Amino acid sequence: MDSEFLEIKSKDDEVCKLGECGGSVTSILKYLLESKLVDKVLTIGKYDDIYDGVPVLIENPKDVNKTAGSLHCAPTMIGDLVSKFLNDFKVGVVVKPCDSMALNELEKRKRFDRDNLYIIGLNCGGTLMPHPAQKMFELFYDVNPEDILKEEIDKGQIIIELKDGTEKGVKIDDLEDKGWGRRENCQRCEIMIPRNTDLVCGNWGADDGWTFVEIITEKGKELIQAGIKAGVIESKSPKQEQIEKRAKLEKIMINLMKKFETKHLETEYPSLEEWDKYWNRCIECYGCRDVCPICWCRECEIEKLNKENHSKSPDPLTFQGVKLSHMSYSCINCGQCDDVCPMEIPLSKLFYKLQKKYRKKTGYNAGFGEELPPLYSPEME
Amino acid sequence: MLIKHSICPSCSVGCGINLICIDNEVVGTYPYKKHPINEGKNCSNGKNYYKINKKNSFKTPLKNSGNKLIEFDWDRTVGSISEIISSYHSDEIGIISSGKITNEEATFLKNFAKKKGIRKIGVYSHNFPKISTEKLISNYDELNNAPFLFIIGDIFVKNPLIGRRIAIASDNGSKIFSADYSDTSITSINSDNYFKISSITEFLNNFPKEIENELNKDSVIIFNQLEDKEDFEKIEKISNNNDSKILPVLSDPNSYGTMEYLPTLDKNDLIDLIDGVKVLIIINSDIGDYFGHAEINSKLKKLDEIMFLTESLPEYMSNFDYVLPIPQMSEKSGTLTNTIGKSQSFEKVVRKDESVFSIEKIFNEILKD
Repeated sequence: MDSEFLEIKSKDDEVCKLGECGGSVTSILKYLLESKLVDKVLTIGKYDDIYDGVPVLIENPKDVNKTAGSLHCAPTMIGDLVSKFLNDFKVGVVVKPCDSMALNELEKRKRFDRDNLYIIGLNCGGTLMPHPAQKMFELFYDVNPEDILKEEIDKGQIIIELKDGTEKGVKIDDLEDKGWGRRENCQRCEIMIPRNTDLVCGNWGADDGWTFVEIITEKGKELIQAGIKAGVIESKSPKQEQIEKRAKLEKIMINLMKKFETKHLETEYPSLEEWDKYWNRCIECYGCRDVCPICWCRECEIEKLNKENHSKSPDPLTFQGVKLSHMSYSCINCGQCDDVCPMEIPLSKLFYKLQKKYRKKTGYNAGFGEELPPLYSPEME
Repeated sequence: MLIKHSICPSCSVGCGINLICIDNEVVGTYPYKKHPINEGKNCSNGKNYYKINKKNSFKTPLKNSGNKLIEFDWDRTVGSISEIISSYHSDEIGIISSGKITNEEATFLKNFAKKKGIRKIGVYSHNFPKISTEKLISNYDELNNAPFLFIIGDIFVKNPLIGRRIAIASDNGSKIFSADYSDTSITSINSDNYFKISSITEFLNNFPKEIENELNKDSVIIFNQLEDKEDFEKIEKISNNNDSKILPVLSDPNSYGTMEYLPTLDKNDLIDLIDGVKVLIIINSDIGDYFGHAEINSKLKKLDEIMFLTESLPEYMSNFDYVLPIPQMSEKSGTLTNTIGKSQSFEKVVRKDESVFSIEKIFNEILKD
């Protein structure tokens, strides 16, 4: 179906207050559980504080409110959680673009039944690593990170709200020019509006207190219509200028992305000598493989080819090289491999650069569409 | 499915780790990116710890009967141990612990020994003393920008999340020198200068000038092994000469904390303790690994009674008279103090099996008699 645009908001005053942009996502999740359209919802919630976003699985609609509001210190990945642990359930999942791309690649490999999922996308301008984010707030905002109640990315700024009710904002450009700001992978991420979902929610183009929704699938459309009919959300049609404003914001973000893509994958891409230095650090912990949503082979070829040897790092050809040959065509630039590498090896630059080359040759865009990559051999997995 | 914060029990660095739990069972790990020490990065030891412990876990005490360990119920096991302890003089009883217990459990053990008059008690420290030096770094971040790091041991492999800091320092322009027994190691490959040594003690006795000349107030000496308890003092003296700092990397998640409560035992102290008692209680301490199983078995054979309290079944058990399961780290709450003296509390992630006695309960039952 062609995309449809709506503005929606929760009809529950408490949810409106707790959530972002009218609490629409919170109300949709509650509705999914209350109406028994799903057994569980998987979303992101605060564990200890705003720097500690973790995936939360909820069965009781009453618990959904605890996850209301947005979190940016949540560089999470839910692909594996869905395919490994939630296969037997009907689940409503809230996803960032990288999550939705991971789900798409896993779905193509039949790692879960798409019919079991309601996939609710969120516009995403990027996430922050929790520890550097706290340091950044100390350095550039001159505040105690513990005094921050909320943070948001809006109008090209990272804005914080303090306990005393005041707000402070610093331009993302200024922060990122100095090496702070969003994760590198988020800086070069091409997708801000994940249209490989059932519907996408966000504040771009929306009136204050409302959520702008792009409805992608019939399933998404039925869900919104059912929510309106059940009286949990209300809706209105956005004006043309709001649609254009949203498109303009997306375009600005894409242009910004291109600057970083060139920087990370070309001008500042590691030299061969630098890669050699990185490979010498590898301790064969398999962290990059374990966290990669695309790596799911039942028998890992890398383990077969590499015998644990503590006196030297593994041969990059049989270790990272084999991983590269298995998954790089489907690399979604989620950056989880970089995040978990104990040796700070920027693996995703290599894998994603190859995906981009593969895309140029074959037209295969990882994380989208229904077809597997050309020349993909399921026997390998 | 629940994701819960915990502390990695595989070494003394104190990394955070998220555990994925389903139906009261740990089924996987998830990056704990907010944790200031490791920011979501874990080594394979940390990620696999729960798998190995699950594989070797047991719920029922075992008793040696005709050189075979057979299941024995809790009440009779604890009753028998109480009788054994009551029938020996306190000087004939020894307790060996490790850094794989919490501070709260270590406090409890200390008090238990005091009440029972047991003086032969301690924690095997791999030749490290109780850490009470002002030279210790206060935060791992100090490593990131140190201009010079000197390393003894293969930190990259044994303590990868310290190795990470060394890699960051190297990227920031730090000069890295290291020393170890092996011809090559991942730490040596990542060093600007490597010293292959045959003895740490001898190396420290004749400490190379070219290393000493590089050390200053911003540099750090990192070491995860010592041959002799006096080696620590030698390193401290070297660091005093140039005002550099030190980072001793202990072996267990609470080695630092346990040594605050219980006396430290080096290899000779441990042998003396075993030789001087008739009854030995070993708590979560893999003493076979300290000396080699053959050597330790010949020593243990001379004892009248050996009770072993452990999270998971050891490979060598033939000499033990009783083997008692104790709750795993994921099944209890408490505090652990990492190798730079920072205490972190952790919460129970899964409920322990109701039947399994905690360390406190086992010793409280013994105290009743």
